[in-house]
Amino acid sequence: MPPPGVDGIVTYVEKWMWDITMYMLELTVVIRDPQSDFPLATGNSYHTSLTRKSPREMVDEVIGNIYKGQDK
Amino acid sequence: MIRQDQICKLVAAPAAALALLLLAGCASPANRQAMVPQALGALQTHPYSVRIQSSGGSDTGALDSSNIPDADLKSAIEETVVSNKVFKSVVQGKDGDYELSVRVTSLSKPIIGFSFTVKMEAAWSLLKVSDQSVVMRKSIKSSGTATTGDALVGVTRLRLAVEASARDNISQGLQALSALKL
Repeated sequence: MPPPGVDGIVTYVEKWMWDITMYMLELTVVIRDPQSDFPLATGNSYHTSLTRKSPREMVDEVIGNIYKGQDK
Repeated sequence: MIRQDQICKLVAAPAAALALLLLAGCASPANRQAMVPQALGALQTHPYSVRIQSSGGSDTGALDSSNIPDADLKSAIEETVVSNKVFKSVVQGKDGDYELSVRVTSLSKPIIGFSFTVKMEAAWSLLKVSDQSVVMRKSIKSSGTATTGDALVGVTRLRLAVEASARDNISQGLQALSALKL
C-alpha cells in the first residue's frame, strides 16, 4: 500500500543482453494509479545490438514515447 | 571410392538441416482465431451496443519474436463479445453506447527454455459514451504456457504461449465486463 498523498507509482522493467559488451535491450516504464494498480501510461524502447543506446538515451526515448501525442 | 549417391546423401543432409533451421527461425504473429477463448460459461448480457478499440500491441518483424497486432486483438475481442453475447451488439466507428478500450501494457516473453510462459498485462477500460464517464478501469494480468509437447520448434512454442496469454486475458476481461451492472 503506497503512503498517503501519492498520485502515481512508476515501475520499470529492463532487459539486458550481451554482445561483446552488455547493453540494454528493452526498457518498459509504467505509471500506475496507486489505488487500483491501473496502468495510466506506458512507454517502451527496444533496441538490438546494432542500434544499441545508452541507458540514459533509452530512458529519454521511453519518456518521450509516453508523452508523444499528448499535445495533439 | 565414394559413389555419387553417397555424395548426394552427404550434401543433402546438412542442406536439409539448414533449410529446416531457416524455416523454423521465422517468427509469426499471434493468430487472431487462436486468441479467441472458447466457452466462457454463462455471462450476463448487457442490452447496449459497444465499440472496441485496442492499442499497445505491435507487429512481428522477421527477426522478432511473436507479438500481438492491435487489429487482431481487437477482432478477437469483438468475436468473443459477439459469440458470448456480452453486449447486445458490436459497432464500428463513432457509434455505440459504450466504448471498450484495451491497451496492452506488457508482454513478457522468455528468450530460451523448454517450457515457455508468457505474461501479459492489459489495461481494460469501459467508457459510457453519452456522459463520458468511466464505468470500469481494470488491470488484467494473464499468462499462457506452451511446452515441447505443444510444439518442438521454439518460435512456434512461443507463439502458442503468446496466444494462450491473450486468450486468458480476453477471458478475464470479458468476465469482469459481464459482472458489471450497467
